[in-house]
Amino acid sequence: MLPLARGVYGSLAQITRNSRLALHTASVVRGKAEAAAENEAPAENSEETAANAAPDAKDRTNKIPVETSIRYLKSAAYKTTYGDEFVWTQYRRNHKGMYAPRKTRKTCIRQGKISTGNPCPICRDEYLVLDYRNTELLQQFISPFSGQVLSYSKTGLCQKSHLRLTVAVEQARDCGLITYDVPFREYDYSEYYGKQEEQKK
Amino acid sequence: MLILRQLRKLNGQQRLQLGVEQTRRSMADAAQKNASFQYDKDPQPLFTDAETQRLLQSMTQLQLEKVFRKRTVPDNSTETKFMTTAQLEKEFLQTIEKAKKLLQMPPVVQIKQDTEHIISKDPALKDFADTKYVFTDITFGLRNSERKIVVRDADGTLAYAPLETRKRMNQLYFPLEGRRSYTPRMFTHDDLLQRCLDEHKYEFVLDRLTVQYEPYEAEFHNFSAKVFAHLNESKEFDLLRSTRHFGPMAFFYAWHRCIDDLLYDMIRRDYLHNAVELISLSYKIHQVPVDYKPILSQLEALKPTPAQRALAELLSCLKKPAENAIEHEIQTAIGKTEQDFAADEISLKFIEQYIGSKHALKKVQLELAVQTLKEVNLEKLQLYQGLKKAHGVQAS
Amino acid sequence: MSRLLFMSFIKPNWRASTSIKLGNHINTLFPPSDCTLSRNISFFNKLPADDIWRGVTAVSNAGKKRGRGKGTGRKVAKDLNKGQTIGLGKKSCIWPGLNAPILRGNELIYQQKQSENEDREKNIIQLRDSMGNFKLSKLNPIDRGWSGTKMPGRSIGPPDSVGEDSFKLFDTRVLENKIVFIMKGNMGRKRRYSVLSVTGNKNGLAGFAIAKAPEVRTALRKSKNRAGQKLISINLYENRTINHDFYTAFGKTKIFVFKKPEGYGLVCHRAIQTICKVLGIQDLYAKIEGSTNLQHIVKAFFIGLMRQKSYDAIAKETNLHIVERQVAKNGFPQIKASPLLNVNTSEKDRIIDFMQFTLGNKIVLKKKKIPPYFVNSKGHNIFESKNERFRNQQNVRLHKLVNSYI
Repeated sequence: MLPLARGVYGSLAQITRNSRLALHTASVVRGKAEAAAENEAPAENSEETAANAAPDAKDRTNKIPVETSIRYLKSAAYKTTYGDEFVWTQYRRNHKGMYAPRKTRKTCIRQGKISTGNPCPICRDEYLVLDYRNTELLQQFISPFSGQVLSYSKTGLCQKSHLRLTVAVEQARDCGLITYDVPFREYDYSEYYGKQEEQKK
Repeated sequence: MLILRQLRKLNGQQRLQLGVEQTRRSMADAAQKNASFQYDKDPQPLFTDAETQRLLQSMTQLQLEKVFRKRTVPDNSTETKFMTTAQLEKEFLQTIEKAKKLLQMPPVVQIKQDTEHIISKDPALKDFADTKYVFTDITFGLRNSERKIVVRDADGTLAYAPLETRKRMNQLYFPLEGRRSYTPRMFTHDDLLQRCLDEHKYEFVLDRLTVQYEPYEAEFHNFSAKVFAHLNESKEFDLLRSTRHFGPMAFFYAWHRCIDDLLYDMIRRDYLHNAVELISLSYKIHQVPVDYKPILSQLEALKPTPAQRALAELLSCLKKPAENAIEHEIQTAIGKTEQDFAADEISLKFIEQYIGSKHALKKVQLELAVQTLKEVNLEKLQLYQGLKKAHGVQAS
Repeated sequence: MSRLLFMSFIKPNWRASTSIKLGNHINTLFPPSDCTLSRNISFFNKLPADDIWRGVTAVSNAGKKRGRGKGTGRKVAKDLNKGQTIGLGKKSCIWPGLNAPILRGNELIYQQKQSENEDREKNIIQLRDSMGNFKLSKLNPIDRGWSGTKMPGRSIGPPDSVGEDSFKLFDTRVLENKIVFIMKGNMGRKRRYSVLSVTGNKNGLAGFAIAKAPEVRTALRKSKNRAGQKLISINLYENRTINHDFYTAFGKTKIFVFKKPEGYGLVCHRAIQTICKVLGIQDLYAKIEGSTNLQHIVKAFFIGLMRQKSYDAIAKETNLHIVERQVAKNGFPQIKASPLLNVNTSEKDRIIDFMQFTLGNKIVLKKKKIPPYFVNSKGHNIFESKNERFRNQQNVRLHKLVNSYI
């Protein structure tokens, strides 16, 4: 319990320091701290030292395994952060002028660190891992009407995340983890049945 | 097949001792062992037979809301139109035609073996190049099967391309929508396919199979056999009803003498005429000396074909409530007409005959299902007659 | 940012007030012993702290008119001095001359410790909590309205309940918030705030109203409540879009509104978007022609919505079936409405286009897209021919990546 609380307070302190972080990002951080405590419950010592060092909220060098991400999507921490909405619905791009640039930014993470104040919905929460096994997350980015991956102009993903998303979705389809409507194939029977059919006619 | 046959013998000997549960388990074992069910001879002549086709189509049924279910399309726009009644009737006919097209069954044919067909041997060309050369005729309008594709080997022989090369070249120049140039991971990793099957994504797997493989390929046969075997265990036959794969599935079960689960499902869902058709199909395939034709023709007279039924369903919203509205109302409330009751009687007799014969494997289960259905039907019939009497409708 | 600003506001305030008090004491108690000249009265101890602070931060009247210094002079979120007295801290102590008189009767009072008050800190925090938060809570980006910190597009909650009628499921959004002037005989130019807002229950019930008041807040409230009293029920198609395409106009504002399939979204003027959100319309395309006066847009759109016909009414009028074919359902014809009398209409020329019928025989001008100037120029042709071999590159790259599983 202690490391958990410390983790929470550490991240909260971080927020007050970087007061530019928005409110919902704060809850993301809190959620993360909880999820981290959940996962690394046995290794309490290492957790404590990590908490003492006050982990940098912008650091993205340590990779989160997919299994953790899948569990995170089912956890209460995720629910408190996003509710029933998609990961991207509460995200809005920052831009100058009336119209947003046609393309989103190339990447949010440079040299293992978040290099922007408004990282895209995938980059801002390091516990969202794009992988073909993480179907629950991928489904949020697939249109139920067209069956296609939603455009980055709608979801606000950075170009790098978007490419990873399309690859992951395609892989998941390839593996049969995500179903889609297979194009209809019309058979020309005479091609398979040969002359017998023609004779009958 | 051997195991199955032995099982049947065993079943015949100790009919009562062998419990339903045990039968089921041994069936499952057999299915797993025989995961690569193969057609031992060319199934095509039997499959393309007009009568077989009719039986299969009738079994498939035509549920409009399932055939025309909502699919994902890039542009899901709608078109609203004014139509006269005549136009609408024409439109409905076209819709039925379209539905028939959508329910076109994938052909069931034998596995095609690669045959080497050398055109010429030119030793003079040996070591001309260190790679093979493939020549493809990409003339417009040719069928993929008719297209000439030849290979010049490095040792100078010129031969017709093997099937695999043909498929690849055809896909390269005339791509089939949905087919991948590589084998999808779903079909290379058994655990992934197993996962799909466990989640009952049967239609998806089969759809993908039709697109990815040609019906004469060994993979097509293996995978579809695997799906059907799994389906026979999970008994979710309704998932495939009214899709293009139901016909080949029923044909597969009939061929491999394991129709009992499907039969049980049909009886339970009150598709008795389908059950009769399935039994007749099985008789036909295995040339059992039972005369099923008169019963089929009787049923045919009483029951409309799925296409007719669907058309009637479409047209019913055009008709205004007519004079025999009460009769119609009673029929819709009970879900059966007088003809249906008559058809049920005939088919029940036939099914019981089958259960009594040595061909049925799961007698106890089937008997029970038939018994319960009989009771329900009797109740319905009494209710029907009672309602009719109460409303004063004359028996026509 | 806000926390930093807030601290900088507090500090000078506190200093100013203490210096005054200290100065007073010093003046009375310790008269200068040696004769150095000192001016003990300055604006620092003459003026109250607020005035001094304003003198530093405020802008002149002329500047104010030009909109300068908007960020300063705001109310401080919380006065942290409240509940605290100088000289009394964590450890309560008597400081003669600071928080206690030096002489009590004839007795001289010495500095001395007192029993600690344990509840003190708790009381202060309680007091601060009770003061309420002046700080504007950070709004979610999608609730922030159309633009910047302005009101239009923002939600102002459901209208206040009147008697037993409560507007529980309603949501009100501001469409327009502007200053209007009128001339009065004795007062001259009189300024008021005009607010146009729309309220709805996201299920086909909505109303809009304009209200004016000398204060923004009252104007918002008035228009919100008035909108709640002017509700209009609108028939939605499948609870997501309009019944059919329609044309509507008010004044010089003309709107063509089109029904759209599921998942299309709202592609229209932001005011129409907001109205649709409040109404529960999810898919729609609207094109405004002519004036884009906001009040006219709102009125025209509502008139159009109200004039929609139901399918049954159209079928009755035309004596034809209305059939809908969806591409997603493989073109399956769905009968939406049928005429009551089954008159056999065989004349072919009587059949009209559905869209033409609903738009009132108006035809939408679909302008041909003008290709960019460079199309068919020599340079562009060269560019295109050079680029042609890369036309499938993206797809190939994607599938290469797809096949490299981790």
